[in-house]
Amino acid sequence: MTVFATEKTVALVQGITGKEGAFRTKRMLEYGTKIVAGVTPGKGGQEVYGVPVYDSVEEAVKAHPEINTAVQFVPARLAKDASFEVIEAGIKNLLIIAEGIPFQDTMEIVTMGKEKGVTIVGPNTSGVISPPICELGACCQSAFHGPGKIGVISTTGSVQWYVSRLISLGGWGVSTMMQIGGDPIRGTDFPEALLMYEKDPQTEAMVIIGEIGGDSEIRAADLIERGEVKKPVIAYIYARTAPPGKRLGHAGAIIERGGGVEAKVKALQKAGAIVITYPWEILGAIKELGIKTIPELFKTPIKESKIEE
Amino acid sequence: MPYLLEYEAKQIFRKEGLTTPEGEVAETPEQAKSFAERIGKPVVIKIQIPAGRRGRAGGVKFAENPDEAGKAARELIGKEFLGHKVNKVLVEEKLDIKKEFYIGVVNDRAAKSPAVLISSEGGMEIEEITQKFPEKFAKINVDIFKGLQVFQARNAARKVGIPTELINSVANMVYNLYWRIYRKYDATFTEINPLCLTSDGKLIAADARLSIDDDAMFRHKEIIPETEKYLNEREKHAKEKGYVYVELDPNAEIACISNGAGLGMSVMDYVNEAGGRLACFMDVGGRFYELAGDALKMVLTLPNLKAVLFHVYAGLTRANVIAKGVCEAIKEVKPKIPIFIQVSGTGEKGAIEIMKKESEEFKKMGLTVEWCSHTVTGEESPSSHKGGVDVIETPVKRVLELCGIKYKRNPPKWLPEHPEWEKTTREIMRKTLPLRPEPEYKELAKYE
Repeated sequence: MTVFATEKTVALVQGITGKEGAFRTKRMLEYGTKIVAGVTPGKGGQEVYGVPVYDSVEEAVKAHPEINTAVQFVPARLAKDASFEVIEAGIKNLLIIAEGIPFQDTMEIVTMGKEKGVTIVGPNTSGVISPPICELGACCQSAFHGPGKIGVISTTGSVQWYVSRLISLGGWGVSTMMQIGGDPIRGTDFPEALLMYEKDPQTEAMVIIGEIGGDSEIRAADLIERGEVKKPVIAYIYARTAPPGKRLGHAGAIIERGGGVEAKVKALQKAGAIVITYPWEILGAIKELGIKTIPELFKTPIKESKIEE
Repeated sequence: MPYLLEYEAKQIFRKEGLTTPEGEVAETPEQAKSFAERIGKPVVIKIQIPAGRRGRAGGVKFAENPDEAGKAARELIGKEFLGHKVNKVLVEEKLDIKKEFYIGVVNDRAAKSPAVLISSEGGMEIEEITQKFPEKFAKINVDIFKGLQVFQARNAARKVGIPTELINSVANMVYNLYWRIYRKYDATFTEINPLCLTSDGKLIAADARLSIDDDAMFRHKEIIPETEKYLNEREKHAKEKGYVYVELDPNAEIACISNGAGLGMSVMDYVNEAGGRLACFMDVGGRFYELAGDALKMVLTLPNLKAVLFHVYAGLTRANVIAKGVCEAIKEVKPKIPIFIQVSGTGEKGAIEIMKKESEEFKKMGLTVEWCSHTVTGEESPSSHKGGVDVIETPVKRVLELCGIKYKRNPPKWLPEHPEWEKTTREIMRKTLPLRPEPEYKELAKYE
């Protein structure tokens, strides 16, 4: 088992006929992700890499009732409508890629999702990957090897691809990497994500990569402290020299009324998490947990779609 | 994050029916004086900068008459407060204050919903209020679909001890702040602090803070915040193109263009801790991977720049597309300062091929361009560096060296480095990479 992206995932791609949607659909298909339908209003009846395109999510679900996950490649301004459409159609997992969704729109999306029991990951994310069975979104596939034991939860792509790659090459492998995104309002935030991994039998430890802004990492530390998360947690929190009041790339990455790295690091340390200072310390920290590597992983090739465009 | 200046926020508040003091915004001491004359009462002169705590910084002065108002304005205009130059002051009637309250609407990240904050104390920052007077503070978590109802505001107002005769008027003010300001204008944050009860029984928004969601500005084209008028050419250009550009110190020596934000912020940490300075923080990630070349041209206009670092670990973006864009821009612009390019992630193989080929070209052109990638050993070309475990740190180290600054790790005391963990990481790589079926890792193993 894994988290969110699993062997049971049957996906629909919203915005499949767009440049990015089509390219990523091809890469996901080549990775082995099961994609049975795409949706672009006004383009129903076409095919994208053999995947039938429908005008609405409702139609797609009617034709393919096995769909349980939607991957959304839709511009930020249309994301609210597209998300509501998915939720209304009864799909229970939604990945929102778009960056730049007005956050009051995101509040509406996540509130509606919660009411209808939908797990939402994103917005402003590259996606979720459970190597080698399922990739959702736009991940750096070559950084992952598995099935592995370490769960990775991150606000960012960049540093996380590096950390995940070291974990993969080091022989522990990644169970699921979930990029929760850099927006202030997230469908799945660190606490919820940690609880998902806590229940996953395949995951033996979690690595969280966090940043300035908000208090999600501190709430995660509270969960660890209360014993609701028992598996070991290793954390890397960047932007420790960030000037207050500047928004640094992510909409949520700003020190205002708290949200600095020091408080997050101290809360995590106090709760018993291991905090690394540099991403390249990661394997030493994992080794200290006494988790065994998986010998087969050293020999099996790392899976990656061939197309680079 | 368009943060509106107080006078801009108050214009919107007035338009939406929230009472503010009588006042006008002045750009010169003479104007301030004549406004004070027109108001005909003692006035308060407040600097208009995008920051809170202006009073404590000395940016708020009282004047009994127009002459004093002119004098106060002269002492404020053109000066710098909290890192911002004062271009304008707000001249307002001085209120006869009987009592100060606080009301605000913020974005509650944990609850993923708006939160309305009310206190029967005001005039100090909300953090201070909640600490000093927890019993006089209430928070309402609002369902985004139902929205705030007046009764919720009334109940909260009662709970925090606002006198009975004021409950309706305060609750209405809170209701309007939520619906007519926070919701209508896509605010990330709005606050009236203090909300003043005057001796003649009026409720007036003595201060007004309003910050609008950048990503929702397309719904509010009528608002052009003054702070945006003061953007420099680079900031304007970046805004036009739509990419993230944060100028940290225009006189600093290093520009970092990263993908994505997490890597950029990590680079910022390592540079700062080594005693270097980043001129800007730029994320070309996500939507903007094709604009890397344009980004390079823009940062080269920074006056004291000594090196540019492209640090890319791509997922959604593509390393090969960025590498191509950056190389084309370098050949076109022929920068006189050194450039370091790190490209890994999605499209890595293509990116390495491009860098191998182009580094020959750069050499012929006499340009200093160094590069690396996760699976590069450093033997690919004379200008390549080993990647692997070092792929994040080496570019930072080299760029500092190219600026004449010796790189050293210097993390904060509360976060000491763990050399033993790093050592283990390297040992593991040396041991596991030779076992891998992929030739690039086998090769890299010899260098780890």
